[in-house]
Amino acid sequence: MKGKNKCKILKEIRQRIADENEIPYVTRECSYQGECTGTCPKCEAELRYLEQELEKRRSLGKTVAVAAVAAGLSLSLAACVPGSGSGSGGTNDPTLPSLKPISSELGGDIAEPLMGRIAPAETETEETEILAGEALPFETEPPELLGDVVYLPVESELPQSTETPETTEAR
Amino acid sequence: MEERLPGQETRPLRPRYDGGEPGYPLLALSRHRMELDGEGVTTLVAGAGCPLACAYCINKTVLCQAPTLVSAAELYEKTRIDDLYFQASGGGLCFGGGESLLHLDFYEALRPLCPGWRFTAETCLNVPPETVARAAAIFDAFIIDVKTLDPAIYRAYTGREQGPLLENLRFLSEQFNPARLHLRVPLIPDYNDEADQTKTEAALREMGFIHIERFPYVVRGE
Repeated sequence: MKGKNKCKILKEIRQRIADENEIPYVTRECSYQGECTGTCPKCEAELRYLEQELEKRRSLGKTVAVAAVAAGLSLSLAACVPGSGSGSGGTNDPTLPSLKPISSELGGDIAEPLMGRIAPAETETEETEILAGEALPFETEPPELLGDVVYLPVESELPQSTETPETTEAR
Repeated sequence: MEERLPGQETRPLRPRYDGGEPGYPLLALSRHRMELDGEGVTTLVAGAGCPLACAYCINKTVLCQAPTLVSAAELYEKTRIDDLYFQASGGGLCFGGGESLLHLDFYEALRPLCPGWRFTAETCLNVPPETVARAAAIFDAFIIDVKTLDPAIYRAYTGREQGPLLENLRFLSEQFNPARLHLRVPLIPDYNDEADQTKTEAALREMGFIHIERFPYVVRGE
């Protein structure tokens, strides 16, 4: 699932959370015409708004309802859509491009092939542009995490191991 | 003795840092997945390490040791942005890569941080039986990439013997909710055929599995 369908479902989930908790919530139809990953600033801001409103209610001692309020929503649930080969992140959609290495031209320390469902592209140039917009190294705090596609840890931003990871059991 | 590639592990990895805390060799996160990794809105968490070397592996990078590790608290911080979606939709994290069951110490540390999230493991089940028994107490669902139950085809395609695969399948079929076990039986170009798929599916149904997906691998050029 991708694009507007994904956006629509995420919006519906937010609406249900708001309704269940009597949170004023009005969302407008998104006018963006391109491929949607569900992570645009507007969608993310609405999610943060709901979190804040729920927290306010909790702090007032009110009960909040989130668990499974959208469980009946038709978004899953085949659970097991086949892949294009062994490994995670596959899809059987032949219109989607194969997973290609993301070159360092995209910025950061990206150098390895990545997995995940990525937007279809008609040309190499177009695909590069899509990846450049979505496959960002992790440079910010979680609320600003972009994607639907990719996260790559950047070595300098993570705690450094002082020793080689133990793999003794495997040897 | 089977020849193995670097990172091709058969037993749980125990990468640690910061004085013994279990770490996870994170390769990628993919948010807002629907219809791919189980119920609800899911974030795919891909990690390094796999016991197999499948000919059509789409994530060959998993055979390289990830350069950095994340702690349970760090992964929670990176994924909690979708906490409301997870809880409201019955979704959560799906661990793949890569062989997810190589990192049980990590999941045991992560699980208490993520109340209300569904944990799904994508696995080939070609890991020691004690690993699967332990994983059954951690995960809510499994997506099992069986491939084929024909030993020769399995060996040719994955580069490894089936090992404890059958034993592990039997264990889960007897000990785990069948509604939360999803098995994949692919048609693998140049390796098996529909007759093999049918035979494998029949054997799995005989074991009691309900959700079995048959589909063709789409092999793309390099």
